[in-house]
Amino acid sequence: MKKKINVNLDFMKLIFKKSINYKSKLTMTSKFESVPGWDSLGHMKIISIIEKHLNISFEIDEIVGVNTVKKLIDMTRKKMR
Amino acid sequence: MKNLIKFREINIADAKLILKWRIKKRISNYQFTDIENSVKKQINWIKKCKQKKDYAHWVIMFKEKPIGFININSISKKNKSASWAWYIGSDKYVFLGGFVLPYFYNWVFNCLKLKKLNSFVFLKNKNVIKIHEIHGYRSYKKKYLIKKNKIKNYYIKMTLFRKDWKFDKYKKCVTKFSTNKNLKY
Repeated sequence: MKKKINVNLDFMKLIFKKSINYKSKLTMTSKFESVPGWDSLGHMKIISIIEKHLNISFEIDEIVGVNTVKKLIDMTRKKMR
Repeated sequence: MKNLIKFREINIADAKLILKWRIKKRISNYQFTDIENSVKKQINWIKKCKQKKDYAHWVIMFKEKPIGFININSISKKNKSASWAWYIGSDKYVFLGGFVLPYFYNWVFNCLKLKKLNSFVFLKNKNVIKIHEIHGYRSYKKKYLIKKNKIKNYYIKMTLFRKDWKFDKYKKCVTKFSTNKNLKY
C-alpha cells in the first residue's frame, strides 16, 4: 500500500534540503528573501522536487504567488485533495 | 484561471522604473553594457527602441504590478530566429524569474513562428544557465570574451529550438504580447 505523505513543515524541510540544500532553520513564516538559495532557480527546484515526490503537477498560476513556506504547504495540500 | 503574469509594452513613462532596475548591482553585473543613471538618456533609449523593426520590449507584470523587463531583439526573417533578454527588477519577485519565461516562449514559437531563440549568458550567471537548461536550451562550447570596466567576462550562446520547447507541459502559459510593431512574418 502506498504510504500517505503528510504535507507539513517537516515535509518542506526535507524538500528544501533536497532541492536547494538548505538545512538551517525553516518555519511556516520563512519567506523566500530570508532563505539562501530560494531564488529564481531555487523556486523552480523546490516546485520540481515537490511535484516528483508527490506525483502531482502545478500550473504556473498556482505557483507564482507562493513566496512563504506556509503558502507552499497550502498550495500542495490543495492540489492533493 | 486568470493570468497573474502579463506583459505590457514599454512606454516613456516607464523610463524611471526601468532605469532604477537596470542599475541595480545584481542586474547590471550580468548585462553586457553599463548605463548611466540618467532618466533623460533612458527616455531617449526608449524612443530609439520604438524605431527598431527587429526589436520589442515589455514590462513584466505580476498581479498588475510591474516586476521586470523582457525584450526580443535581432529578429531574423531569414533564419526564423531571434535573441532576447530579461530580468526581474523588483527584489520582492526575484523568485518568479523562471516562471515568466514559458509565456514568452509560447508566444515566440506559436505566434511569431520562430524556430530558434538565442540567449547570450555570462558564464558566471550560473542560475540563468541552469534555468535555460531546465527549459531545454542547448549550449554552444565556444566562449566569448567581453571586457566591461576593464574586467574580463566570458559568455556563451545558448539556443532554445522550437522542437525542444515543452509545449505540452506549458500549454496553459498563453498571454498577449501587445506591440505596435509588426513582428510576424
